[in-house]
This record gives sequence, structure tokens and C-alpha cells, in this order.
Amino acid sequence: MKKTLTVLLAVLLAVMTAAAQTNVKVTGSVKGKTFGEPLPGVAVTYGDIYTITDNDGNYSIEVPSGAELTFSMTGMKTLKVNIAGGGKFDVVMEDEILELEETVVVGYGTQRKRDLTGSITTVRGDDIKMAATNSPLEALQGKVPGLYIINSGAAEGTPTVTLRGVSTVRASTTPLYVVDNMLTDDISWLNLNDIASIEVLKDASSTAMFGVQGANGVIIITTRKAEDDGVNVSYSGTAGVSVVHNRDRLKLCNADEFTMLYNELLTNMDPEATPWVPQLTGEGTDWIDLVLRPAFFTNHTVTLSRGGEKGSSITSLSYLHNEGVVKYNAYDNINIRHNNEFKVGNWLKAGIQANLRYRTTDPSNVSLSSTARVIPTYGPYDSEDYWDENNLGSYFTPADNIQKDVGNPVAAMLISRGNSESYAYQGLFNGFVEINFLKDFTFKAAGYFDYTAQFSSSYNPKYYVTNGGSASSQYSRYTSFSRSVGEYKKSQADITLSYAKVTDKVRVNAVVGFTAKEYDGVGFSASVDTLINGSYWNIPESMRMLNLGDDKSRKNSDWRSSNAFISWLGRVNLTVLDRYLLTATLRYDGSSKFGRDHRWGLFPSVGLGWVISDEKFMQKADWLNFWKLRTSYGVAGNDKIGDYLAYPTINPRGTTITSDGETYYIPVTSYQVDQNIHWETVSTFDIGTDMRMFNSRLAVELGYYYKKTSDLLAHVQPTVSVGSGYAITNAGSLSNQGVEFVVSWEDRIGDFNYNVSFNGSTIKNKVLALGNDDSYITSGNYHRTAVGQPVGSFYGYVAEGVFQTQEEADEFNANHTSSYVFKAGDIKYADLNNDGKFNDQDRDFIGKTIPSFMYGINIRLGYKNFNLSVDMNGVTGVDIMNTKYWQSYAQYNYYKEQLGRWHGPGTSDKLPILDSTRPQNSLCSTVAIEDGSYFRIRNIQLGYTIPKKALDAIKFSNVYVYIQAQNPLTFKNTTGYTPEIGGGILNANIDDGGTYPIPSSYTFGINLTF
Amino acid sequence: MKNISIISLAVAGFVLAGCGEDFLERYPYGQWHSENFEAEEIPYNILIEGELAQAYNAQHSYDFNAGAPCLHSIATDDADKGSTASDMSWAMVIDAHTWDASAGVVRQYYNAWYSVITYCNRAIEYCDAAGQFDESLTAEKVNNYKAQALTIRAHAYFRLVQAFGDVPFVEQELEQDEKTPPRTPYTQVYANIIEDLNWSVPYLETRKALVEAGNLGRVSQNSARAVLAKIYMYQKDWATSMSYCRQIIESGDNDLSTPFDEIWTEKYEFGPESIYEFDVDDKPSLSISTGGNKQWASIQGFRGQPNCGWGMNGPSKQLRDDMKDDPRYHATVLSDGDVRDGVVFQSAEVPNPHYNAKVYAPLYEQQMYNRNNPNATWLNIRMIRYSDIVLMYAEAANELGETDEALAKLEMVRARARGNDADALPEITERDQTKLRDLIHEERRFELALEFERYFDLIRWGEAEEKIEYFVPNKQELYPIPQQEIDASNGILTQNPGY
Repeated sequence: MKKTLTVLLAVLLAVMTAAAQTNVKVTGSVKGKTFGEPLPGVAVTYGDIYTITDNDGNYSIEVPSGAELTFSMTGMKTLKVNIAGGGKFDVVMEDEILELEETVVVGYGTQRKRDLTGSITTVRGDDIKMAATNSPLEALQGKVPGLYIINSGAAEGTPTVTLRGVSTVRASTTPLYVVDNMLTDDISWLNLNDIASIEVLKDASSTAMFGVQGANGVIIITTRKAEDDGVNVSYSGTAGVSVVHNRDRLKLCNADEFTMLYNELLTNMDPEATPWVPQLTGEGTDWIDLVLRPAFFTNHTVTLSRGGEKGSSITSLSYLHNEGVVKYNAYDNINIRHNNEFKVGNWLKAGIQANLRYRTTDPSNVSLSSTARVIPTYGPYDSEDYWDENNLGSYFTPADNIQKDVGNPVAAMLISRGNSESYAYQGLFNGFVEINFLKDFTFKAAGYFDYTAQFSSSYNPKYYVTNGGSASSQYSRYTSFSRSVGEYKKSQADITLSYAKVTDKVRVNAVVGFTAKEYDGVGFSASVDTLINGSYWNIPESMRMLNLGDDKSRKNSDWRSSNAFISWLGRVNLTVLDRYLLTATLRYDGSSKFGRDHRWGLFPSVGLGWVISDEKFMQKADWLNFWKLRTSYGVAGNDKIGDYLAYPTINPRGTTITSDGETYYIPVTSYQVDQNIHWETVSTFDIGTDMRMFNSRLAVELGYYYKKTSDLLAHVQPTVSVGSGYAITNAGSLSNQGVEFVVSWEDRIGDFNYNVSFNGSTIKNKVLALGNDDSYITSGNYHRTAVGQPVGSFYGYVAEGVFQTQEEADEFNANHTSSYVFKAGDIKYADLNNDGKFNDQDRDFIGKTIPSFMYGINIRLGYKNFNLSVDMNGVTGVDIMNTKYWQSYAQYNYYKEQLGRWHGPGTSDKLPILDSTRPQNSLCSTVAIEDGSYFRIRNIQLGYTIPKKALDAIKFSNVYVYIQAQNPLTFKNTTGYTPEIGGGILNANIDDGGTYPIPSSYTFGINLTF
Repeated sequence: MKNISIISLAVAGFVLAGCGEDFLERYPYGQWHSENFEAEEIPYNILIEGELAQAYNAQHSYDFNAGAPCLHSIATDDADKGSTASDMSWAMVIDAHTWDASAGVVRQYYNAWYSVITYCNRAIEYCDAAGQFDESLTAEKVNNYKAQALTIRAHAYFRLVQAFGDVPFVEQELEQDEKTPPRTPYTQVYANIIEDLNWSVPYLETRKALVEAGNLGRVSQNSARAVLAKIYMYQKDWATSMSYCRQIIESGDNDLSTPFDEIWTEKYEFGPESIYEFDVDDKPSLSISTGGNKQWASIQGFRGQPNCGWGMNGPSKQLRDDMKDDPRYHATVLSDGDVRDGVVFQSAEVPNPHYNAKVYAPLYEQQMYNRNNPNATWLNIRMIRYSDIVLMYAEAANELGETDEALAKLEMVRARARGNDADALPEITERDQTKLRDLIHEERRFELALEFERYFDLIRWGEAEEKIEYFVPNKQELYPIPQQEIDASNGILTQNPGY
């Protein structure tokens, strides 16, 4: 009865509306295709008329008959339905792109994800929109298995990126970046909001396509294109604050604690010592607090796009202001990007793109390591009466006898504040033309040009930091000023011819091509001393000109360098019966960095895949939606070393001699050069599987790789009696291997949808050969790179505790010949080789700088208009050398931990007695090794999409607001600011308290679409 | 469409231009290399000068400037490490006589001389090649170059033998993948360098000729003779040693006219006192700055106000006490509270606030040439001084029983030291050989205090155990071959006894 009534009513209404406005009523339900669940919140629109589906996915709307209704919802493919004369229309919406059908950018083309034979991870632009960051890479942390990222906290900082372990000791570990087909080694110019997707290419069948530059992996970035037909205007903005929470700061002694420890040290060295009396007692000066600040950052992007049959264009304008948590450190960036694509029929496509950028940096001029060292018993100013930041004579530092070379960090900061500037203009331009002919063939030619002009200047005033009358060693006797200018040009040309054919049984995709690239840079710098003679202390900015300097102090210099490479490339992708996959690539590269006879190389790869789930015998396994096995092998190169290493040279001004009373410059031949030097060769074997189960709710990717670098470029110094000054040669090999996995689960329960993903990777790094006789490379005081060990391992003594009593020490002395005489309170070391001697033969590998496991957890929740995402990551199996354990002659402040030092039997079995005359306690040993493992909540974002109804009045089509907390919480075992230290390949992870802290940032953001 | 055509053309042009191998030919700017220059274009004299200049500069590397005060002086009881107890901790093992094969400072000293040897070997190779290919370069000139290189190298080997005993004798630069030769018996090293030095003397110039020509910093005839005299003296061949000393004294190229307290001033660089001197110069206003390391003086300089340096190699209490009435004291010791050039010297708080005055540059030197620094980065290193030769002569004469000769030469040195103070240092008339020997030894100790002689003199005389509190006999007569070198040689190099 009810039903009849409804129908009657509908008919009546239809007739009425038809009569009046020819409007008809349309009702129905909307369901998702994958899970068949009702979809609430779907926008149903026709022109200005719209509604949204209710909680059960039902909708009802009146529109003119014959209208075409649009069903749209984030994450689903937009659907258009002609409702003809109205009535009931139940629609089923598909996920925007079925993930496996997605295309993946693989370099010189795209491929369906399901057809890949290699290991490629795709990250969508929407997943990396972390607010308080300059670099898109920072946001990749914890999202890509095998990708190790060490972030930088500085305002202008960019992260260090290593893929699948360290595969070199001398060349660069930076992956190759490919932005819209342009090869580059720097992507700091990219605006986060312009990025559509990032693909990380790890295995050889993917990276071999990039030949001599592919060995460190390849990161392909695709920028946004216009998405829809019609005009689209959107804005996104964020603003927030970064802080270093107290819990993340160094724990240093206060004035009383320091005085107590220092007097103990004096007494330990001389029982008769007169106690030292500090100027400040109690808490004293918290130097760290004086140089850190809550920092503000904001980012605004306006994007205009227009799509259509004949082409599309997108223009974006963005502004970023990022302050560092260390005072006076700031970074500003303005970016304008324009991309225009034309289509002429089906046969011609062409486009141009330009990205213009201006950036300026106020570098940090605080020495954080000094801030960690300076003693808390004095204040930064002479006395309170003199607290005047602008008076360069009012700073204070204590007398030499306690702290000579540390200096007053606040004075140093304020004196040099604002005196250095660095800014640059960068323009990136590219254009392409693509011609489709004979149906299956496409010819594409593209050109790229990247131009940067960089300017910097630095001024140093005349100043003295006094200690109540007499000058200290912290001073400058005269003013000085310098400027430098640099110009960097990169050009690239690509020509490719591709063939694509899809039949019922076979999919073929082949490409051949040519790439040439060239870099040219030139720069100039000049400096003078004593700007304006006389008694000026600080010279106004307007008078800081080279012209005004003392003639005798004028210095200038310039530099220039260039490199180039050429490459021929080819690739075939073959998919037979949608099940049997083959990828084969071949690349022939020439690089200017090597001598004529060692310049060209061939880089092949092959990948095979088998989609088992499509086999007949698997059809019964309903729970298994997709199962692929893949394997690949290939070779890539690493030419990221300095230019011109293969050429013996003569420096015309190599050295000077005095002859006949004059100084002459004499040419000097370069150190011994290996003219046969060539790139490192990295061969990689991959095997893996991808699975989708339970209606694709569960996805599992699992892979193993073995990567071997041969012809390792290294500087292995022979004995000095052979000669000194030998060059880099191809002198070894090393391997990296590991397991990488991603497990993710997604589902939708009514209004609630979620996605939880866990990824991880192991790395085992090992040097296989080095030099002639398995030599080793010692780097600084703490690291050694040797055969059988990971690159850049810590090498030192093994501490077994502290001698609690003199008897204990005497017993050790009696049983061991040694250059040290141990006393009570000294560190007790192991006589590792048990030869009754304690000497440098008792050292061993005591820690490593490459983590053995890293992982990420990413959670996405959605409920009605709310969404929440949480990203976490961590590493384990890595060590950090905390050099604060070694006291220098300039007395440093102590870390709170030192309160637990040995000061009598039974007081400590780890930290030795305070006594700087006992070098035996300053040996590189396990005492200073800290566990560098950490787990960090990287990002939490809570967002809300404002309902359409509420937007009606303000003409927005979409408004999304969110709050974000970046790095709110870190669990770590180290005593430094951050466990993300980095450093050189051979001498990483040294923490002297001077690593720029990685702040916690809190952001409000809004995205508007008009 | 027009845009597209332009881009296509640009792309095509770029590609065509770049297709060839030429596109990949990239060479360094600001350097000569195989493409902008024929190797023959550089005259051999320039190539040789370049290597020689580097050899001269390498003599005062940081490794030397930090290592030499340790191995030559701090190891004695006349000098302390200096500075605070924990500063320059790498030198502690030397002061305490607890060094082992891993002592960094020993390795630095060893490396320093081999680095000099490498440059000399290259210069010698160029000299040999020049004779064959370069007709414009006279044999006389080539021989002079070669004589300089051989002399510098011989001196380097002498210092290596002095410190380490047997060392690998390498006469040419080896390829990187070649192995080091094993240690050559020191007698053989001596034989080789004696031959080189004797060959060199006639081809070298005199100090006076060098100074007149402005060729400051080169080794002279007497430099080579001095090394020969030392080699024979270390082998107790008194007669031969004495004959070389006599040649030097009779050459008239050197004398003792320089007032003792002005020997280390800029004014007397390469003066009559100079036998073997490393040239270190820093004159900002004239844009003159020698290569190598210029920290010799600042590593040892006064620590405090004015802040001249780190304060290494300070005179010990024992030396100061023994020397306190000697007129040379003031030119040897610079103490807290001293007044020089009107400046009161205030030491930093250190256990021994006394410093090596032989690295102090007077105030007026600090103010010349826009230097504006008290670190004496222009202070030459006087490796062998004339008074050393005169005392060696006296020592040899006494050993040979030529007492009159010994006393006469001893008095020459004491007379200069006496200066205007007629009452100080009475002339010595002791004729008993043993007693005179002790007096000559003590004279060397004061005349050459904190310089390069004391430690190896004590070993040479067999007095080290007696005069050095922590000396370990039958071991510390030689320093250890650096462990790192033994490791890198894969066992070809062996260790000295006791280590």
C-alpha cells in the first residue's frame, strides 16, 4: 500500500514538475563496487542542483528530465548517469583507480602496476603533505621499504636519502631524481603541493634504465596536471609552530652540578687543589634555552587549472616561510609553476612547462656544539647593566684557564646575526612534442633547461668578547666582507620512439631512445678586510661594499666546471595472457667523468613475472584476488664522483718559491692519478611476490634483494714509504642484501573506513674486498672500513667496567704490558687477544652506522567527514658515538649523565673517574657507543571536510581543514637532540651535541576549492 | 605551434651538436692537462722547481711541526709537554715515555719525512729526464737541482734513521699498487745518502750566494756537509765528522756573529748562523705566504695573554734551574710575568707557566706587513745551526784528544753566549778528556736547549737512561715503526725491539 502511494506520488510529482518546469524526481542508492557497501556522503549534482547520499547511501533529487547526473566522492571514480525521464537509479561506484590497474611511471614511459617485474613503490602526492617541511623526501620517511632517510632540522635543510644500504664509500649515495623526465640530483625547488606522485625504483630491471646514474636507485617525481574539465581554482594554506620540547633537549648540568663535578675533577688531579669558585650558582645559565626558540612557519599555494579536449593548463603560485628552531635561522621560498599542454586531434601532443623560484636563507650562526660545551656558571653579558645586544663589547666569556676555545655562543650568535645572506633564482623550463603515427607508434622529443643564479655575502664585524677587562680569544680585530656569485646550467634532451600494442593475448610496450645531458657551472667570489678605516666596530649594512675595503687585503677567485653524458636506451615490456611478464632493458652510456677509453658502458637488465592468480588452477582460491611472483637481475653504474678525476693535471700556480727576492708561482703536477678509473658497477638480484587477498582488503608485498658493488671507488693509502698523495682508484667491492615487505589491510564498515599498513626492510652491508691486500680505511678517530664489516663501522676498545679499587687496577697492570698505568676509577678494557698486553691490537669493531632494520607504520581512518592519519617510523641496529664522553683541555659542561661517574668504589661501573690527566679513559671504546635505535611518531593529521550544504552560501565546492602534529613524540636511547645524525659515508653518526635538533611542529591547514 | 617548432629545432640542434664523442670531452678549468697543453711545453726546470718547492714546504708540514718538538725535545727531561694536563693529550705518551706503536705523533713524524722524500724522488726523476730531453737546461743547472733534491732527501733519511733505525730506502716514487720495500739496514741507508751528499756538495751554492741572489730557503753546501758530519758523528767516526765540520768552519760561509737572543728573529733569517733552515713566511701586505704549515711557532708559543700559541715544549724546572745563571736563559725561557717589548706576559693557568722563547717573535715583527697576529706564522725553523757544528767539532776534537782545538771551539760558542756580560760563562780550561766531554755535553744542552739535539744526543752518548727519568732502555733508543704502516704493508715492515 505504501509502495503504491509512493509511486502514485512520484507520478503525480513528475507530471506536475513536467508541467511546470519539466523537472523530474530521481531516487536511488549508491554502492561501492569492491565491497558492495552503501556509500554515504556521495555528491549528486546537476549544475547548481545537488544533494548528498544519506547514511544508507540513498539519495533523492529533482532535476530537469534528460539531465546527466554526476556522482562524485573522494576516492571513487566520478560517474555520470543520464536519468532520461527520472525514476529510480541505483548506481555502483568504482574505486577511483583499481590499484593494480594503476599506471606507474617507470622512466621513459609508464606501466600497469600489475605488469611490473621490478620493485617499485608509489607514493601519492596526497600522502606526503607534511606541513613543516621543505622537501617532499622528508615525508617519504617510513613509507617506502628500503629507503633510509635522515632528516635535517635546519630551516633550509634537506634530508639525506639512501636506498637499500650504502653501495659506495667514495662516490655519492644520493639516488637519481627524475622530475617530469628531467634527470637531476636536487629537488629542493619542488613545491610539495605540485607533486602528483613519487615512484621509488629500487631493483635493477627498473634502475638499469638509468644506466651509469642508476646505481643508487631512482626516484621519479610527477607533477600535477589539470585533473578535470573546466576551470578549477584551489588554495591550500598552512601555518604552525615548531618547538624543541624539553624532553628532546640535551640534559646538561646546571651551575651547582657543574661546580661540584669540576671541583671533584680538580681534587682528583691534585688533592691539594684550591676549590674553584663559580660566578653563578644554582641553575646558572641555560645556554640552550638562549639559542632555541619556538619557530613559525607558513605555506600558501594557489592553483589554477583548466582541462579540456584540446589541452590543459595548470598554474600554481606558492610561498613558504620556514623558521628554524635555532634563533635567526630562516628560509623563504617563492615558486611559480606553469604547465600547458596542447592536443591536436589524436596525433599530436605538445607542452611547455616553466618553474620559477626565488629562495633566500638566513643560515644558522649558532654553534650548537659550543652551546652544549659552554659552562653554565657565567652569563652571556658582562653584567646586567650591560645587557645590550647591540653593544659588541658587552659580551662576556670566562678566563682562558677554564674554557678557552669554546667561547660565548650567545655572543657569537648575536654578533654574526643577520650578517650573512644567501639567495638564489632558479628557472626550470621544458618542452615536449609527441607525435602518434601508424596507430601504435609514438615519437617524442623533449628538451629541459635548469638555470640557477646564486648569490651570497657575508660580513664580520670587529668585536671583542671580554672577560671583565682583558680581551679573550673570541675577537675579531677588523671588519671583513665577502661576496660570491655562482651560475649553474643544466640542459638535457630526450628523443624516444615507442610502440604499444594491446591484443587479447599480448600486451607489448617497447621504447628506444636517446638522452644527452650537460652541466656547466661558473662562479666568482671576492673578499676584503677592514671596511672603512678608523674606529668603526659595526658597519651599517648600506656601507658593506667591497670597494670600501683595504686594498692590500683584496682577494678574489673563481671556479668553473662542467660534465656531460650521452645515452642510448631501449626497453621491452611484454605481457602474455595477462599472466607472463617480461621486462628487458639495455642502456649504453658515456660519461665525461672518465677517460676516453673508460667512458662507455653497457647496462643490461631483465625482469620476469608470473601472475599465478590468473592461472586456471588458482581460480578456486576465491580469497586470493591477486598473486604475482617476480624476479629481476641487472646492472647499473655510479658515476657520482668529482669531475676530472681521471686526468693528470698541472696547476700553474701550484706552489710558490722565493727567488731573487721575488715570489714566483711554480706549476705543480697533480698527485698520482689513475687514468683507468671507471664507474662503480652495481649488480642487483631481486626476487619477490605481491599478493592481494580477501577482496583485496589484505595486500602483501615481500621481496629479497642482493646488491653487489664492484670496482668500488676508494682511496686506499698505501704505506707512506711507497709514496704519498695517491688518487682514488677502483679498489674493492661490497654487498648489500635485505628483505623488504609491506603488509596493508583496508576495509570499510558503514561510514567508517580504514587502512593500516606496515612496512619494513632489513639491510646487511658488508665490504667484500678493499685494496691490494684486504686493507682497511681508517676515517678519523672512531671509524674503520674493513673487509667483512659494514662500511664505516666504529672501531675501538671494549670496556668491561671500571676498576673499583686500586688493587683491581694493580692486578691488571701486573698482568698486562701497556703504555698506560691503570688506577682506581679508570675504565677496565678487555685484552681481546689475550696476549697479556694491552695495546691497539685489542681493538675490534664495536658498532655500526648503517641500521639493520627500519620500519614504518601508516594508519588512515575515515569516518563521515572526518579523517585521521598517523605515520610512524623507526630504525634498529644502528649505533651512535657520543663524543661528549671525552673531555677536552677546554673544560666542557658535563651531561647530567656524568653525575653517575665513578667517585669511589661501587659508584659506577660505566663512567670513569673525572681526571683529565688519564688518557686511558679517553680511548675510543664501547663506553661512548649509544644505541641509535628509535621509534618516532612522524605525523598525525586530523582533518574535516565541511559538508556541501554548509558551503552553499560561500560558493566553495570543497573545504577541508586539518590540524597536524609532526614529530610530536620520539622514543630513543641516545642523549643527543636526535638519533638522526648522518655524516660522511665513512664517518657517520658522531654526535658531539651539535646536531641540529629535529623539532616537533604543530600546524593548522586548510584546502579550498572554488 | 610556433613554440613547438622552436623547441623541436632547439632539441634537434642540441642533440646533433652533442652526438659526438666531443660532447663528452670535459676537462678541468684553470689547469694544464693533456688537451690544452703538450707535456713538453713545460720546461723541465719549471717541473723540477715545482717538486723541489713542494719538498721544501713538506719539511715544515703540520706533521713535522707537531711531531718534531715531541720526539726531539719533550721526550727529554729538559722539556715538558706544556699547556694543561689534558691538552694535546697525543703528546702525553712522549712526555711520560709510555708511547707504543700506535702513538699518532710518532706516525706523523714518520709520515712527514716520507712525504718530503716523495717530492724529492719526483724532482730527481725530472732531473734525470731533463738531461735526456731538455737541451736548453744546462747540465750545471740540472745538477744543482738534483743536488738540492738529494740533500733534502738525505737529510730526511738521516732523521728517519735517527728516530727509527732501519727504514725502507725508496729512491723513486712507486705505483700505488706496488709494495713497500722492506726496511733497509741503517748502515746501508747511511752509505747511500753519504754518496748522494758527497756528490751534491760541489753542485750546491754557498749560503752567501743564495742570500745575495735572494734564493732564500735553499739548502747550501754547508747544509749537505752538516748532514754528513752528523751521520759520521752518530756512527762515532769522529775524524770524518770533524773533517766535515772543519770544512764548514773553514768555508767562511757561516760565523757566530749573530747575537744569541736575535738568532730566531726575522732579521737574521738565513743569516750567518743558518746551516739548515726551513723557510716559513707570511707577509699579508705583500701577498707572500709560503706553503707548508706555518704553526711551528704557535704550537709551542706562549699560552695566555698575549695568546701566542698552545704552549707545547716548555722548559722543565730542571732545565730552568740548571740554566738560571746562563746568559742564554732569557732567549730560551719565556715565563709568566716576563716583560718583553713592553708587554707583560700573563700565562694561562697551566702546571708549568714557562715557554720556549725560541719561537717568540718580537712585537715589531707582529706589527709588520699587516700581520696583526702574535702567532709568529713567519718564524723560520732553524733545523741545524752553526753553533751546533762548532760544538760537534769541539766534541769530535775532544774524543780524538785534540784538546786545544776542542777548547778553542767551545770558547767560540761560549764567547758569543756571554754577550756583553763579561762575568758570565768563564772560559773553560779543563783538559781532562772525560771532564771536558761532560762540559761539552752540557754546553750542547744549554746552547741547543728545546731544539732538535738533546734526546738523540743522550741516546748517542748512552746517557739517556741516566738523564731521563722514565726512559726504557733497550727499547726507547728507537721509536717504533708506526703500527698503521706495518699493517698497511701487510707484514713487510717489521717492528723495532721491545715494541
